[in-house]
Amino acid sequence: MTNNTLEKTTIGFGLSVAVVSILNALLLIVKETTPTLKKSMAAALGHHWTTHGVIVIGLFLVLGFVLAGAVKPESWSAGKLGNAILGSVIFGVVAVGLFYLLH
Amino acid sequence: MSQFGIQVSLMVHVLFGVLGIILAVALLAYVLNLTEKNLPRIRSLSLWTALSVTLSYVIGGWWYVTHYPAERAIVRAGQWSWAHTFFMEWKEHVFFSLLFLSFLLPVIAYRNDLMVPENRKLLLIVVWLVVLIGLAVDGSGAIVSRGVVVGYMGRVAP
Repeated sequence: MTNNTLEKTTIGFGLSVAVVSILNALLLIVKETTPTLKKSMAAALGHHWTTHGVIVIGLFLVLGFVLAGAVKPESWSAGKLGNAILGSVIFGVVAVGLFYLLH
Repeated sequence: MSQFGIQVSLMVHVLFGVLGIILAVALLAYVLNLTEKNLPRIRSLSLWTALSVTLSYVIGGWWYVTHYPAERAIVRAGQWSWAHTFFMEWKEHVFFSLLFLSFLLPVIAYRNDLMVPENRKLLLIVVWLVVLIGLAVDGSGAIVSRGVVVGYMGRVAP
C-alpha cells in the first residue's frame, strides 16, 4: 500500500531550505551594503563568511525542526513543497548573482 | 601548513565537490528509472551525495577563510578581477543552498514512499537543483583558478 502523505521531517526541512535560501540572499545583501554589520560579523568569528555560515546553517536546523513539529502534513503536498523549494532556491541563486553583477 | 598541503587541501575540496555531482547524477539516473529494486541504491546514493557535498563545504570553507586571501589579492590585481568580485562571491554564498539541498536528499529518500509519483517528483526537483547548482559552483571555482593564473601572468609579462 502506498502512502501519499509526505512525512513531517521532510516538510519541515523542505520548507526550511526554501525559507533559508531567501534569507541567505537577504543577509548577504544587507551585509554587503552595511559595512558596520560586515565588520561586526567578521569580528564575531574571525571572518564574515564564517559568521554568515553559522547564522544560515543554525537557522536551517532550527527552522527545520520547529517546522517539522508544527506543520500539518495534509496541508503540504509533495508538489506544493517541490514548487516552493524550486522557486525560492532559484530566487536566492539569481538574487545573489544579480547583486554581485550590479554592486 | 606547507604549500604542498595547502594546494592538496584545495584539490581535495574540488574532488569531493565533483564526486558529489557525479553521485547526484547517478542518483538522478536511478530516480528516473525508479523500481522497488532500486530503492536501497537511491537511499544510499542520497546519503553519499550529502556526505560528499558536506566534506567539500567544510574543506573548501576552511581553505577559503585561511588561505584564499593571498590568492584573492592576486586575482583582484589582475585583468580578471571579476573572477573574484563576481564568481567567487557568488559561489561562496550559493554554496549554502547547495549544502541544504544535499541535506534534504536523504531526508526525502529515507522517510517517504518514493513509489508515489509526487514524492518521486519532489526528489527529482531537489536532485536536479543539486546537479545544476553543483556544476555552476564547480565552474565558478575553475574561473577563480584561472583568475589566479591571469593575475600571475600580468606580473610576469605585463
